[in-house]
Amino acid sequence: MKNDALLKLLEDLPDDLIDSAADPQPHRRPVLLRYALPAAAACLVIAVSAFIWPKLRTEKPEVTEESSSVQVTTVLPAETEAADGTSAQQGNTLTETTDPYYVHIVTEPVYHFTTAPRPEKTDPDATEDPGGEEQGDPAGTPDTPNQPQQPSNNRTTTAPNERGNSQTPSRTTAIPERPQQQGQQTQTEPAAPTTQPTPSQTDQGSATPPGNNGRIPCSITRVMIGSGNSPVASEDEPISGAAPKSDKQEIAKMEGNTLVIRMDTRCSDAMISYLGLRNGRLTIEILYDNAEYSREQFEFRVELPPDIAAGIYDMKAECFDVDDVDEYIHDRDNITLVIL
Amino acid sequence: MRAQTRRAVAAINDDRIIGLFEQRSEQAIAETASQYGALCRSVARNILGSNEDAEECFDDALLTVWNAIPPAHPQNFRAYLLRLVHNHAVNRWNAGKAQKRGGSHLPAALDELSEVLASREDIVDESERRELLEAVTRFLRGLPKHQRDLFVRRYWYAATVSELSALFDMTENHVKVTLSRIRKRLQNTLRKEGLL
Repeated sequence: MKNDALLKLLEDLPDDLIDSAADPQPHRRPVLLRYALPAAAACLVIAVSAFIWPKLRTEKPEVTEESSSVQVTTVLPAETEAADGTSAQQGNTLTETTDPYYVHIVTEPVYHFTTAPRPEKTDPDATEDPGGEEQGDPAGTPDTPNQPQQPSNNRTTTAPNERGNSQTPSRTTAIPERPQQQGQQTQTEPAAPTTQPTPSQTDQGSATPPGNNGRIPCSITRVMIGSGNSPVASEDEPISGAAPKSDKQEIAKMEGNTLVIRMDTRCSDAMISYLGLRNGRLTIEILYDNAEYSREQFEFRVELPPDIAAGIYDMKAECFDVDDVDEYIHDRDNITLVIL
Repeated sequence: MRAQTRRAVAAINDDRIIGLFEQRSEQAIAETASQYGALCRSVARNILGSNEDAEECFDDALLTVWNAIPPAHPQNFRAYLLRLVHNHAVNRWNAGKAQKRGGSHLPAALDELSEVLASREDIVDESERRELLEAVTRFLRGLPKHQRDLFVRRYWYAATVSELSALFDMTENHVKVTLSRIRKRLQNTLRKEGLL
């Protein structure tokens, strides 16, 4: 359109529009939009960065009692075979069913295995643990239950471990008084993993730790079970866990068909509360009672069916630093030890 | 509310000025010049680009008002006066355009607006022009006040972007963007109504 025609068009604009434009109002955003909202947003950002974000960064996931006791029962292939005898072709694969699976569990301090010097703690790949061999015997040795009655003999046969915390008579005498709470154990050794007794405990002849009545669940999870094409471990070459970073770490390794979990933690009671598949990995949860770091070592031995034991691969140990564990014990209700 | 009060006071003043014109009192000229002189001169200056031409234009408008009232009795004296100044300024600008005078802000404003109506070659008859005017008026009435004032100030008052920025307390870039969006919306509206 030509400018002349446009001018003529504009000339006829209504008077009210022209008169209204004679008094323009400054176009300003409301004070709320200009100042209040930015200020509030800034305060929010500052609050998040100063208080919330540091907590989120430092907070570790908490394993609650409910989450650790999820009822997911599994049946390992050996049980499946025993049940119907038709799954012999499954190899190393695991089948999730609702049937419970029971394992033989041996929980006792390492110093009970005193027939031979125990391997170096810093050498998790040690080939054979004499104590482990004894524990691997389902029948158990007849003299083992009698150890508590012969503390002096135990002490004399105990080789001092690498940490220099050789067993003391008082500690040995306290063991038989501990109630055995494991439902199925291959050995009749009554001593569950015990706390390192204080002098008062020794005098009383009881290793029950004072105070804490609540259980502190500790889970060892994600020990991978391989599929059919996974490498097969042999007894000659047991698959070991990751080498510990220090002498205060947990070790998990295979000794034949036995999964051995060794911990630098003392407790009044400990039990394997769960063994099965979760998310395709062998999951082991160990419940501690009154757990506390100790220079004692406890071994948990889980006898696995041979085909399952042979199928375990890629077993890595992720070990907590001792300070972290100690902090957990004092500050949290749950301990989570993870073996990837 | 404050604007309404100011407008009511202005209406009383307008009635008094009109009364002075009807009484043929020369005081009406002085009152009009003091009340609306600056606004009228700014409109004329934006169109003509010259203070002298703007002053002459305003004097011509006052003379026209003097001759028109009575018998005329405008309802909105300020709009009436502004329209007279605008017409005189445009007529003078058309005459000055032939003499290649510069300094006017009107061509730039018209060029912006003519882009909206670029597809429209020309207005053939009066009915067509009136239909287009009604559509534009309807569109402007549907705009928020500050956008409507911005549009009228730019394309009727021929105000510059910097003047609009100061008047409306906006940045120049904001003024340009707002005007561009209004023109775009106007174009879309006219297209929807089949006028483009």
